[in-house]
Amino acid sequence: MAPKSRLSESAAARPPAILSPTILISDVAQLTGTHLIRVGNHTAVHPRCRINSSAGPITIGDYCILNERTQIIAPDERGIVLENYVVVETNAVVEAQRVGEGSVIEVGAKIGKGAVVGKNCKFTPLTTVADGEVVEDDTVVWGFGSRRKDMSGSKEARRKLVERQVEGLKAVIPSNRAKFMS
Amino acid sequence: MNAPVYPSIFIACPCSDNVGQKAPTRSRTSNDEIDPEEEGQAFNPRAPRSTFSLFPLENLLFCEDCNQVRCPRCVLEEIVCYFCPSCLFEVPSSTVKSEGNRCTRNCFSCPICFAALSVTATGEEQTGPFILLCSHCLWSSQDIGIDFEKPTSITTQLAQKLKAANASSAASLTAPSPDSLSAARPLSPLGAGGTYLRPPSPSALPPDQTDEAEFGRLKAHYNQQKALASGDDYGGSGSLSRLMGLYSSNSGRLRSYGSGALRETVTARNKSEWRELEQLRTVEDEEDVIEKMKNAGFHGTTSQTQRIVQTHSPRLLDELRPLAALLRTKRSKRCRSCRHILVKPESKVGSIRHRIRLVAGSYIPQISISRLDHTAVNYNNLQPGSTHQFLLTVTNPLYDPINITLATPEKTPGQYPATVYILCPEFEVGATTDVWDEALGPEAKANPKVAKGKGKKTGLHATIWDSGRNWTTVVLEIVPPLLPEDVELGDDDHIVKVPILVRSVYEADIEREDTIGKEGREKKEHSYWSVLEVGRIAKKRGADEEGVRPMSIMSTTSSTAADETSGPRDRSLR
Ligand SMILES: [Zn+2]
Ligand SMILES: [Zn+2]
Ligand SMILES: [Zn+2]
Ligand SMILES: [Zn+2]
Repeated sequence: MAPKSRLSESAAARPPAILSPTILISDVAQLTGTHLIRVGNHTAVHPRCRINSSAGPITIGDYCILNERTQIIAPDERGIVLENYVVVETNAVVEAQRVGEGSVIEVGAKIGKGAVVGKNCKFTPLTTVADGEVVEDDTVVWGFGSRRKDMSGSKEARRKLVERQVEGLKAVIPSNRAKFMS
Repeated sequence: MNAPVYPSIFIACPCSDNVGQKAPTRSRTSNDEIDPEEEGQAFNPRAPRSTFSLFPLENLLFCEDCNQVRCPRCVLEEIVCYFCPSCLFEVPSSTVKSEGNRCTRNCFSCPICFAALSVTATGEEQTGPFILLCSHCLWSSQDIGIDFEKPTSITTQLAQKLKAANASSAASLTAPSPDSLSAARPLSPLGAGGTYLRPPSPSALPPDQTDEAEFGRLKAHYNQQKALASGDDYGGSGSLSRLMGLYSSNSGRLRSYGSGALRETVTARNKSEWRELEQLRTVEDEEDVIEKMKNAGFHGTTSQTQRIVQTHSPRLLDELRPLAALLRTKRSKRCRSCRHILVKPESKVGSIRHRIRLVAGSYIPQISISRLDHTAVNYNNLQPGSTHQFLLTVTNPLYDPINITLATPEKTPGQYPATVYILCPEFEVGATTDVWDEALGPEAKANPKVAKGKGKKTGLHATIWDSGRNWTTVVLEIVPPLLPEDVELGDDDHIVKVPILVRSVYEADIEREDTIGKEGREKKEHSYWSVLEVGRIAKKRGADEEGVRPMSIMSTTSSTAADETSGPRDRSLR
């Protein structure tokens, strides 16, 4: 995949954005669309992560990690809300209406249009959630669509881990917040 | 099983004719005329038995002494060492025998999704209590109410925890005998009966505490029986004590069959007593089980795969237990007929090197097939009745040049034979030399004879198509048969399978045990049957049929062609 030239990227209309000063955002992340994109404190947006607000506003909470080549797409005018501590792994596609605090969407997983994901959920690699589905808190979707309740009580530990990971990322990803603020 | 990929090449191992009995053909002089008939009938790839003797080259070994390929069926395997795939610790075979084939360290896999469990601290600052946590599905030992005080010797801790849990539930029943209480409780299904931290004792017990309690009850019951029996002339008394000795002995593992055997032994004289035994054997009341399952709901029950890997066949998710990691082995392989070692891995667990590894690919000439004109041939859509040209490349792995003779029946075996013609069946293939020889030195030096014909690509009769340092390519023509439309055909009939006898003759330095002997060269030969599965024959003739497209489009790029044609190739590309 050939990287897009900087010129064409900057030529495209940039969506209005409110980015926290503590955010970590790569200058090759793509913010597109027309609605407001709001990103909270200490959130890391990796290179080539695509956030598309064409259909509605996007709100991303604190300490979220959006990995490379993830797509966060607002499904409709109601927009999309990622609460705090949401981790979206490489290649995942999120078109949900809301993703609850501490949920993890792993490699290549897909959250369908307008789905509502509860808190502390986990979507293991390549699993999918149908459009408009409601996923309860603490659900683990694994294997070929099997579901179970997380009873391990490890959510606090996972959150700590995310915080540590963000701190680590700050040392390795050069941030260019100014580029998206203009 | 994966869908077949065309073209593919298989090599026939001759062991199915006379397993391990093949006389060594080594150093047979071969000045006689080459005659494919000498090998008897052409290999028939459609014969039902052929499936069992055809292997891809990569799966074959080679025995130097027998001068023959060796398939997985004609090698003997010997276990070099046992190790745990998770912690890579070697387990001595005596331990495997006494404690079972599971890791007794901290290696467990998830009973839900079978991923590896890790010991995780739940307290602040990495302090206890510790749990076994699956990082994939987030199952943890907490789900079954178990945590650990320390992050080491999980196996022992888990044994104690489960024992305690079960002992309390079984307390209302007859107390287990003291020796069964002191025995550590094995956790793993297949490692059943293993005791931990000490060699097996007469009290080696089954995996389940409920079974243990059951054993205790049965023992008490039979003691009572024996006492009763000794009072009158009950003849079963002697056999009862013998059986009890058997089941409490070292080798005994109480299973359901154990009690079954006991039951058969005792005559049906004491019918009332037997009814009592039946009650004792029923560990759980059926009503109870139904009630439990009703409360748990469908999502609270185990799946079949989850159930069968556990010894106690749990019905409910909260009865699952962490599975101790199954041990793996490293194996050496011997030739079945001469017992020479063909494969010997390094015995160190961490090492993936081999001391000896005689793979067929470094002894026998390798053949491969490609399309001469890939705009005209689609492997999944061969046109019946028209001539397809392929390039057959023979690669020589040896350090001596070889003379190759290819033989194939003109009509392939089977009800609907394809016509096969090899334009140049006899040719030479250069030796495997240093790659730089070809690049730096004069070409002729490497292989003068072969070089002469190089680059002509005439496709004329009796000339090779192309050649290089250690490979030669010839043209192969195949005319797929016209399949009748009104007859039900097996899937196999749609595939063009070409048997080819590959015979190589070469001169090699004589290897002698006594180095004093005069130096010299000797003639060696090797031959094998291979089967080319060239491709599928198109269903109907003509380009308007679905799936058949104009040939020129097929070939635009190889990747798009593969995307658009059909499944099998598509899958192979992923
Ligand atoms: Zn064999
Ligand atoms: Zn281990
Ligand atoms: Zn798991
Ligand atoms: Zn041998």
